[in-house]
Amino acid sequence: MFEAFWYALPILVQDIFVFLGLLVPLAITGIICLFGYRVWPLIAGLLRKHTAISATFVLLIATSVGISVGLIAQERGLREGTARAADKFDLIIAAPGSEITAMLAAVYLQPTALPLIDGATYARIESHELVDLAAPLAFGDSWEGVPVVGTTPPFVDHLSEGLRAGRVFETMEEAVAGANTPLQVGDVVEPVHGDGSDDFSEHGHPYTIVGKMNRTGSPWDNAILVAVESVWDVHAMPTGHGPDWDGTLGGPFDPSQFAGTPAVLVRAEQLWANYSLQSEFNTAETMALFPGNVLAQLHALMGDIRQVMSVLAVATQVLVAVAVLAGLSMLSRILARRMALLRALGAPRRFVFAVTWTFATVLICLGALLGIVFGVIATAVLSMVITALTDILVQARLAWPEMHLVAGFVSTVAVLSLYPAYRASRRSLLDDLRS
Amino acid sequence: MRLFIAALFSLIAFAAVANEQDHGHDDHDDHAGEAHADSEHKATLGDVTLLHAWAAETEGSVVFVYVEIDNEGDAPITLLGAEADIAGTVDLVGFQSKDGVASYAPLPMLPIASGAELTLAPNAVAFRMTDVTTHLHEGDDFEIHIIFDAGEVAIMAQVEPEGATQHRHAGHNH
Repeated sequence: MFEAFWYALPILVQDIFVFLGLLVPLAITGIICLFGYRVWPLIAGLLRKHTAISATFVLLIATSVGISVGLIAQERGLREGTARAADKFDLIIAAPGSEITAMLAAVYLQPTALPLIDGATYARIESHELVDLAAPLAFGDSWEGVPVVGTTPPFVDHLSEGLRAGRVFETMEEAVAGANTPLQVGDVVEPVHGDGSDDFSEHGHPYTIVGKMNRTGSPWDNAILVAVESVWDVHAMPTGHGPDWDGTLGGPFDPSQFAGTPAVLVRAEQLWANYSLQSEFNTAETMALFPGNVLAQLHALMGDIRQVMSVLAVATQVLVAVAVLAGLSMLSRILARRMALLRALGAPRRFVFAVTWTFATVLICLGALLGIVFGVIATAVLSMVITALTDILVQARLAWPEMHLVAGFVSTVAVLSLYPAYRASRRSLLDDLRS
Repeated sequence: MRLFIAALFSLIAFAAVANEQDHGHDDHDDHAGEAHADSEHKATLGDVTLLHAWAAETEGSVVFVYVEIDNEGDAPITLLGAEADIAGTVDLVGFQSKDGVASYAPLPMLPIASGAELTLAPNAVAFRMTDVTTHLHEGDDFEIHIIFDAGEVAIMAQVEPEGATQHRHAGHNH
């Protein structure tokens, strides 16, 4: 009954309920502690009197909360960023082997030597009635560390959805540059074989940049795209077309002149057609994979790591809170004389208890709020760094899971603060007055 | 203070244990000692073989069902959907990732080429049963009718532990 009701609620409402639910222990403890007392003027006075020490506690808690929520948000941002980078790669067909290796090579342009798909197989893919777009992805060369990939003009249109500048390559001497490359239309590049690190050999085939792609948020932003025919040509292989070829780049290719490609991007308009093609091309000769699917499996594996991270984040926060509470115990000794005076004036023990607990809880709540601000800043900085390092656009934002973590933290520590408050209320009145 | 720290560590330990218990224990090497008849794991419709239908234990009313389909015939066959007595509706769905967000979208059909194998699996194609009235526990089984353009076939689906990623006999050909 409750389950049905719960699942019928919009996810936002569920998140809000969980958030409020996690704050219930704080609210109940607060109501019980403060019932009948007006402690706020005293708390404000204490905060003013002990600004430096209060600020230190708040900063300590804020840093701990900020790092924890920042890391968790970053992990989610990275997951979404890697998935978004794979959005344009509906189906990849490669020679049988490791799906992860093929995905890393095709989507994230990690240099890998993959076996080649032959002309007959490519022709079967290209001519399949369900295929709307098939493009070879021939990687291996590079220019100053920037991967150079041989493909077809329709793939450039598919990836970039229109160009930021210029046009798509039309001859074997032209190239299109990714958004993050330092290249502009009119520049000339001369790629080398491999990544240029060890087997350095120039191909003696310069390309003129004729277009620049839009930002895709993927490592393809730092790549140069050229005609696959030119990649075959510079490696002294057939260009994929027969003797009657008029020079128009792209498919259909002549199977007998097809030099091979490590991967083929396949796109069908309909999702069902993509899955049908995947089942058809998962054979002894070819492997068909959805990068999104492989990533989801990887992310599921990482789910365990995520849970460990969450536990570690909570544990770190709680340990910082313990340190803060230990500090508060000391603070309560500093406050002891004032409290003793209050009690001498007739305030009951429970009032001292309420003041100490409220003081601790106010510091924790302020720290948690500031921690959220720190988390937002940490997330933005980390996202920029990761995007710059990987070319994968990471847009991490704090969301409900982080808010739940903070709410859980605040409630837990508020309940734990009862102990130092209790200790403060049990101090010897006479000793404290004499001190 | 000591008591306080001790209480805190027990709290952390409790959280860790609770977290551990959330994980399913995939037990794929449990084949020995079980004597299921082939018919429980396998069904055929003409030249189409269905093998190892399964679902993962869940407390929710939405259950995903997976199966291996092998079209050994000379003609393509089209998967259209499924029906199950324990569910209000059953949809054929496909996993998709858009703008970094994963979801399942209904598929109107799924042609399986001659000689092709289609494996319904988590994060790929699945039957999504909604309004499931029975709470499915590990070791339970239930009947699901799988509908093709060429006809309908019933197979028993096995309930695997929560969080399982494949049937416990995946890889066995029976």
